[in-house]
Amino acid sequence: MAVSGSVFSLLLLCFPLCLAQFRSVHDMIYVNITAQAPCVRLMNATHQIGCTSAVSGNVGVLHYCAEQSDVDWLVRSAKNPPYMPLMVPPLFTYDNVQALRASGKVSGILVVNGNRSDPQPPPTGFSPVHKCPNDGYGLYKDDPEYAHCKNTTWNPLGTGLSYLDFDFPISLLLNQTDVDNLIDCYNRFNKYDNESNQQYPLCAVQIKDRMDGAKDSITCIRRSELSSQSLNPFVYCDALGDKNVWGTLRPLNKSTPLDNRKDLILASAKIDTWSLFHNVGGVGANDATGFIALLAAAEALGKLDQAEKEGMKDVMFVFFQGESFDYIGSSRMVYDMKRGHFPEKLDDKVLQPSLVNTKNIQYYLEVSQVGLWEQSGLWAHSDPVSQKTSAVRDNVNTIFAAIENATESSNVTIRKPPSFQALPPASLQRFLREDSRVAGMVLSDHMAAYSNDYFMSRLDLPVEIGMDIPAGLKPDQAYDYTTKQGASLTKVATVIARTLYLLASNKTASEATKIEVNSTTINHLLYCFLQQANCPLFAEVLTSKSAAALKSLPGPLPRYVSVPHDTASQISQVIANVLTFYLGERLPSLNKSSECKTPSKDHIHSYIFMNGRPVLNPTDNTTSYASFCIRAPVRFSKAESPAFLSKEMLHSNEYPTWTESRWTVINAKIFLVSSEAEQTITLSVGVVVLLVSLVLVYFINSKSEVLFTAPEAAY
Amino acid sequence: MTVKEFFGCTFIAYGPAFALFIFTIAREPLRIIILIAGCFFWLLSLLFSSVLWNIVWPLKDQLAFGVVFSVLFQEVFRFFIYKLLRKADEGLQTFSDEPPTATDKHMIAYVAGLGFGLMSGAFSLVNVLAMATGPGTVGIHGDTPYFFLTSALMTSCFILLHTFWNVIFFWGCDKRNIPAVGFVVGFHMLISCLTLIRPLQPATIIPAYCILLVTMAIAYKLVGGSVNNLTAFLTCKRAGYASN
Repeated sequence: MAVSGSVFSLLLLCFPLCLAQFRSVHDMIYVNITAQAPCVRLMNATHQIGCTSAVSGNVGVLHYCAEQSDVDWLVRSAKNPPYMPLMVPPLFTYDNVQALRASGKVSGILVVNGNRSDPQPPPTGFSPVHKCPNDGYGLYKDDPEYAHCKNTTWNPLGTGLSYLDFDFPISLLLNQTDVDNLIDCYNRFNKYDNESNQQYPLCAVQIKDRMDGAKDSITCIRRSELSSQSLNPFVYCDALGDKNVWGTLRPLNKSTPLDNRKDLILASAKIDTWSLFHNVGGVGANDATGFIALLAAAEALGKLDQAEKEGMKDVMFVFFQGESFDYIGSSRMVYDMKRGHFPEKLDDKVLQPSLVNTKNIQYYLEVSQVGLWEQSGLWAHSDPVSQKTSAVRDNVNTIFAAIENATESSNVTIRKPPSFQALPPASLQRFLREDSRVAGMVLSDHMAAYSNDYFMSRLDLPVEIGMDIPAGLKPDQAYDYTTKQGASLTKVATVIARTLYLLASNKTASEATKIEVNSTTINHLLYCFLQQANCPLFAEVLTSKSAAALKSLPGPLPRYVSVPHDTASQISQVIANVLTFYLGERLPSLNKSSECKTPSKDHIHSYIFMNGRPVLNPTDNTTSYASFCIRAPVRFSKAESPAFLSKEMLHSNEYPTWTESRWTVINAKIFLVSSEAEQTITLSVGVVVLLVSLVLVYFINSKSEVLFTAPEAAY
Repeated sequence: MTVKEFFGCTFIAYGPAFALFIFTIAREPLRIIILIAGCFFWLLSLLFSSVLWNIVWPLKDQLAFGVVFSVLFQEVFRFFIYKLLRKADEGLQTFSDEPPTATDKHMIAYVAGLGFGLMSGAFSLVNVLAMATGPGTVGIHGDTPYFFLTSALMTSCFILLHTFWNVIFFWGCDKRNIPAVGFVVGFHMLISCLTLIRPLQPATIIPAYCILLVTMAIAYKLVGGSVNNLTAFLTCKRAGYASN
């Protein structure tokens, strides 16, 4: 490396004409892989998980695994390691990855990203997370009866692949051209008979994705802190986190504080999902049905007239971020509530919402995965431990009665799992952990084990939950197309909206039938969140700048929580805008984006100047936008783990401690490698040439009077 | 990693030039000055070539245009350094106690030529060598797998060619021998254009080395060598015994 470094610096001294050839020599040797989603390293308080390459990248001979026999050959008979297998989706299973890793013959793994409409998943299902998701940070951490999913295994297909620590890179190839290039190179150079010897040159791949952070979050944070005092500060990792989105049906105001009243209704869903591969968009489809249904329910309730809303109890919608990582979003919200800091510390100078505490929550309704309820039924889960208190049990029963009433005029049946069954992993667990008097239920599409065979994986795709949009449809037709999922989710969303209405208003079941979730809303939300983020709904509700940013996005928004920035991530921002659009009141008097700013003293509302629908001007064929100003009690709250607020909390094991390692480059390239023997020959020839030259010139020089008898006259 | 290939190619390309430098130049400060002057003039020719290449922007992608004018510029600057060195000859000789001889004139031509060649060799191979340390080797698009080897051989050939050409060129200028000068310019152009037709393939290497042999023979003849001298050298006869 030092050699190439010095040569390179020499090169920099050269002049720009070199560069033309410099690039072409590079292109003669390498073909770059254009788009990949790597597996990256994450850390918690005790472990590191994910993948990394060596500093200079990992190189391996390409081996295309199209059949199980190819994998077996690599594990058993391959003789010239290291290899870089290129695996088709059905072969990328826990068993195969572990076998390859144990063989020590692979220096990395490339995975073909199947077609989204025909993903070819492994026949046995694929869930790379634990059998007991978020174990240890939920309600039953130390419970003798329910800890570690003793009572019910929620995700029996979970292998824990995502939680392993690999010392080689694993990358998902997002671009079919790259896959074609690899297979072509493999067929041309590496298609040797499995038994016979390989013939050089061989096609090989290098993946470079060195992770800076190592060991665990605590070590990595300490290293970053030590480095911050040096001349070259270096950050090794960042805590995972983002922003939760919350909004209320009518504004909360500290002038009428909630105090000790227990009459708030909280409805929540989680936004984020995770797969082994970094930031893949449009996955976690069944995970997304929860927040989509809740958003649609918020729209239905937001349409009620103002007078009726005034007469109802407070309803709060919360969309949690980072729940996939030991409940980052909800643990922070509960922590803030406990300290009396939610939504924010009281300050006399500004207009603020009233403080909300866990003890104000009368009913809590969480919407978990609900996409597959038509196969397995709709289930309302509750916590058996807290229900030993009669007051809680009564409230839980009230919630269940409300759900039952809400289902009355629809053909949805709601059922309760056996009363001794624990609560599935849910944000509600964090609330109950803090305050066992919160009465809550979790709606889901499974009684015990998840109905979703692809929980938290890249294969939890829209097609798996019945989003059967015909292939030939144009984008605007697909946007309005009612899929099987669209029809079934509309029913669930209606049930949720009516349940919340019944809980908040003391009305009868027949009066609640006027609440109806629009199937168009569901179709649009499903399409925008899971198929194509560059869609009319998002274009309408975002600011013109954000809408323009979405235009260049080829598919749906990724929902990995990622690391916090000053502003919310795209997905949280979009959800906040959609919620504002559904709950807000339009302010026609403010018709310029400069006028439509949230007043600095108003911490109750958010004002957003939405882009609006495009309007075609028939006279000169130009498009303008019917932009409008809208105001709603919708705010962000921090979704950053309290663990990082102090050293004690970091070590306390109470709060999530996930961090993401930093990295500088992620790239991969395809090229040929020559045999060791050939390289040695080149070196030997070089040494011989050098030695012969030295000897020859020495003799020519010493015998020059014999060789050159230049007569003076000849000149 | 192909660090092996890197060193192999470096030795092939620069080994002969290195040997020449160590035994014939390194110990004499005057020769080092002339060598550096040679390097400098080659760089000047490169500067002018690249300026022209930049100005005539429509032909930037035409490699042939760049090659032809680069060769012409190199030859023009070879003439300039000839003029300069002959002018400086008298001044340089004040460093030396002995009167100038024909051998000294050839020596100046040889050293300047090696400087010329070294610089051209450095520029033609350094960027290729920088790539050679990476994990890959040429060939994914069907190019010859001997790319690095042929590049190194070609570079070595050009360094030596420049050295011999310079000897012939200086002699030609001294003697006002137009054919000698024309021979140098002509063969320089010929071999450069040869690389255009079949870039860096074994098929280019063989004619290039044939030309090298011919040029070497001519240069040897000019500086007072002959078949007899060569046989004397090969049969290890001492000076003085050589019969002319």
